[in-house]
Amino acid sequence: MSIFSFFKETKTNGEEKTLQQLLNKLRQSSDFITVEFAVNGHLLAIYYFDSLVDPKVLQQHILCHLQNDVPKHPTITLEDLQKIIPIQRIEVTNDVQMIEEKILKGFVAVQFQKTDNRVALINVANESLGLRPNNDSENEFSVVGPKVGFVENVGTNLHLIRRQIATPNLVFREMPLGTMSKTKVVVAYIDGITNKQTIETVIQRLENINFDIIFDNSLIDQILSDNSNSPFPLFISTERVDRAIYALASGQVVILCDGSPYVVIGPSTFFDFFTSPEDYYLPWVLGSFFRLIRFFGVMFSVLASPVYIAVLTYHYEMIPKDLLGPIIFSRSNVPFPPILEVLFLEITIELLREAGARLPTKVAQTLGIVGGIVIGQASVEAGLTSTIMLIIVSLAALASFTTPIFKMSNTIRFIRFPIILFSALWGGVGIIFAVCFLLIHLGRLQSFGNPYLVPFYPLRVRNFKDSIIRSSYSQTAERPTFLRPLALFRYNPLKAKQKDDIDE
Amino acid sequence: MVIAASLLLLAGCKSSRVIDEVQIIQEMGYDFHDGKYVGTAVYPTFKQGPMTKPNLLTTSSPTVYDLIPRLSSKSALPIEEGQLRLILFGKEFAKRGITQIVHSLARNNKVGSHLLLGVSAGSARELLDITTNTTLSDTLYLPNLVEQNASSMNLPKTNLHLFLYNYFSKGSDPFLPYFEKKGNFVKLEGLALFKDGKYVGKVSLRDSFLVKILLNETKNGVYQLKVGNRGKQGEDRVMLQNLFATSKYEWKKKGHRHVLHIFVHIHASVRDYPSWLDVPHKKIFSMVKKKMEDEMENDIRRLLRYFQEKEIDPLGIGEFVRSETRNWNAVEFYREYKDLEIKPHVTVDIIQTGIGE
Repeated sequence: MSIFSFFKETKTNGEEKTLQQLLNKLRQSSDFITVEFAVNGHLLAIYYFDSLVDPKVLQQHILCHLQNDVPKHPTITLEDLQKIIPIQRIEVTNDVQMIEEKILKGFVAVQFQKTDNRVALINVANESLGLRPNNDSENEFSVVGPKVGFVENVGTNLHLIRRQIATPNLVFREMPLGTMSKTKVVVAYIDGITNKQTIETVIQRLENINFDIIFDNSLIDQILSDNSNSPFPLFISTERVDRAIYALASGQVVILCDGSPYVVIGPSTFFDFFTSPEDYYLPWVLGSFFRLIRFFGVMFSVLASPVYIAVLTYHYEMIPKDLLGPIIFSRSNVPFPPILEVLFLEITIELLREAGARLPTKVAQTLGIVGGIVIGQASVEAGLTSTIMLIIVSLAALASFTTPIFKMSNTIRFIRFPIILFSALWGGVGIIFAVCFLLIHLGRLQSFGNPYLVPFYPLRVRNFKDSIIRSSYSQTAERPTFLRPLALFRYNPLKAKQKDDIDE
Repeated sequence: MVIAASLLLLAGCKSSRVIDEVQIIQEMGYDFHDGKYVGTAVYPTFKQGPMTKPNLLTTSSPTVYDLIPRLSSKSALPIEEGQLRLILFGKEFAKRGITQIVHSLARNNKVGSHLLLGVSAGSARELLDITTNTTLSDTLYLPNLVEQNASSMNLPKTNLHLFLYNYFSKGSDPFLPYFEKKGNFVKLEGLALFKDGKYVGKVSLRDSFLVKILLNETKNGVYQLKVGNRGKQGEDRVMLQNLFATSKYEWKKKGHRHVLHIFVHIHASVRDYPSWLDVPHKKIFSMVKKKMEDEMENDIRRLLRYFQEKEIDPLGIGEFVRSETRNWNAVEFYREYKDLEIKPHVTVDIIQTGIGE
């Protein structure tokens, strides 16, 4: 099936099909329906996929009008169908390629004469069949703030965005992707804010995608990625509407994909992954504090167990004298070296997480209790692990879940393992080594050509206002300059700082 | 990738010292007895719960260096000195000089500079033996004792770092806490003074308060002073609780000779005082204050006289003078030091009396 209209220039698409060949091919499926009847001397033929069209619309707006109104207009042509059929955008074409595409998307093709190559294409696709009408943002939960999340239907998602950004500058650029799925992918940006170069990069990369079926937005995420060998996600994927809208307003590009309740936001920086929309709904002091807690959580999660291993295996000198007793005592029954102890527990926790994620919710709860309490307690009593290790590993796991973006929290749990290995082999030097590797890697990463570690590397002091801390709204009128927005200010900074007296 | 992996694995062959597979020694004692060196190590065992039980290992050897290797031959696990908190020298050992040990400690990267050193009146082994027997669960009885006394009582701050600083500096001499065995207890008895790494004398715990205030600004320490001649024992003494004391040195020339002025200013509270003093009378109060200042000046003069006789400089006067004069010469200075005129000036400010913090 190498028919892909917008790829024509690069593809060698030899066979030029006729309408008849197409119809014969489509008839192989039993849900492909051909309705033929004679009206007024015309031999009308209607072709559609039963499984894609909305039967109600088909009967009430197409069949009904064709049967009743066509006889009233004896000289009717295909172009005149718009006059009698109350459905928007009826297209008349003889392009076989396009006809195939549209029929496969739930259009009805109306043909007046069997021999005529031209057909009218009428949209009766059933957009919402089999899809959730609404979605609570369950995976990126926030206590305060809107709970509406994106759904699988891209039309609904576009509506959700358009409803909050009431400006003609909001542009949706639609492009079908996937040679087989022809998935509707929409690039959204605000014209006059988003940098032109960024938009071009996004569009160009999307156009270069060659893939059969786009199952989910995360596929696009991976294919678009600047460095596909990195464990770090380079684009934010979110199901929260407010997050997507905030990204649009700050000059980022949002990519929506039909069939995926997640949207992809780019270019993103490393620190974007640790901001939660809730930071913006709390007072700035609290928002900043929780953000700092999250950063601390990441560091703790990545470094806690490697440091434990390194200290216990190589650097017993640096244990404070009051901790020496508890640590040695808790390890006195454990037959393994610290590295095996840590790996055992880390893998147990990963198993628990994986099992909990795959099981139905109700079973998963039981599993959490069984795994967390029973295995933890039993493995300490059996002398497989030490109590202090258990505490450190579970705290580290807990801390990794504070990251709001799921992809990032996966990454954080993953990069722990190489650091653990380094620390087991080289001790403290190994940890430094691994962290250096990590920083070098992060420093080299790019997201749609934008540096990943900005505002730290390259240093952009101006953009610290909303990175590690979330400043007050009187300070954040500027959009992040590293996105090179075409308009710098989100709102008037002077008016935001001005305090109106109540008596005025 | 292969190179990276093999690098990692091959270079990772460093011998590991897993914490529960080494014998951590926390205190070490050195003695000289019958022409042999005796080393005593205190190590904790953690098998009976979070409480630790101190144990002793002793060995003797004709040289200092192979004491720890010899200790290893008595231990099931390799001995590691990385958690050493205190090294105790027996008096006999200290008199022969602790240079060898100190030099080795200065180069040992496993021990921290917070390591405490001390001298025991009798043998170090005996003292460590007492601490292991009398204390139920505390391997760190002696280090805690020293730290407690340094942070709230009369003992000046000491540790390996300060010791090495004083030891290697030309203008000062080191000192260490001095312990004595009193029945079944260990008692801190003042400061042991060193000259060129050899024990030469000691000062009492009472006088170590003077050393403490003459060395640095301090915020603690107590000092008993005689303020009158009346009647019975105890009736004529006041207990001074130091709140904040500063000392300032001045190096002046008087004719051909130099004079060292020491200005000591003590903000103190009087904790306990004789009943006859309990009159809020200005005259008596200033009389008492004067008496205290005089008595303290006398004590300081006496202490410094002692230092000068022993030709030691634990206060680092040489270092101070070096900072004040160009072309300072240690040999010349200490020739003059013996009979240098030192004039202490003490000011006591009593800010609180009776009960009160």
